[in-house]
Amino acid sequence: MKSVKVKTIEQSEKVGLYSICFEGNDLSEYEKFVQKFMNEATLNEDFRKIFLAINRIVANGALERYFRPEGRMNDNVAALSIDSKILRLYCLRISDQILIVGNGGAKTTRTYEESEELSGYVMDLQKFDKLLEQELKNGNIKIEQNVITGIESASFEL
Amino acid sequence: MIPKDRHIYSPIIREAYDSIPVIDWETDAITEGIASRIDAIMKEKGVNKKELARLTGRRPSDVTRWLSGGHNFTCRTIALIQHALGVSIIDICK
Repeated sequence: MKSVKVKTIEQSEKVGLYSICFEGNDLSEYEKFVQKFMNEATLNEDFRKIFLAINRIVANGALERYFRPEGRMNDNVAALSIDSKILRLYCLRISDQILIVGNGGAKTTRTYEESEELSGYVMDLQKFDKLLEQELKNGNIKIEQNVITGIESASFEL
Repeated sequence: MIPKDRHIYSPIIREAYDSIPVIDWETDAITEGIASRIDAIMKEKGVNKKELARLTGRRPSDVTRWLSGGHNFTCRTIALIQHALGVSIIDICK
């Protein structure tokens, strides 16, 4: 079991951008992704495309056209739809106004399932998605437009 | 370049905003503008991704990329899409 908290990364009028943060880590999964690839010469072009895509989402809303479904039929896991050659970033599209960004990496296998690293990131989000749904049902946290109320004090056991 | 009206709570994300070259921001504004226009025309005409793929002779995954907002269109692709939709996508100043 891994204990996870949620960090607010960015807030605009249209979107609340959040990321998951494992216990004992200062950085959230999205911040780790950014730190890892921001200055990585070989994947920098892909990184810029992904970062600009996140900016587009925060500016305009987490619109369906910015994503392609990546997990299972019954979850909210999505990858950003970009011209990226190798790099992938996985997220949970909760609504047009709420996006929870996870981690990602270089996709060197045909599918993400064949990569231990990438499938691990997707599975973390799938598990978190279910726990979040449960907490929303229980009323412990609430989604109010572009804000998840009570999320930063909540702890989730993945 | 950090956009206005944006609250950013992470120093690393601030640093990343500053690392993106200005020309990339300008390119992105153009590509998103084109994608947004195609999306609006599709909605107005009731054309879905599958239908636009059929009309242009391309794959649905190509249409997904066109609508992503970050696709670097060629003039030929824009011509292909506007021919299929029957509406001008870009107005050229004369």
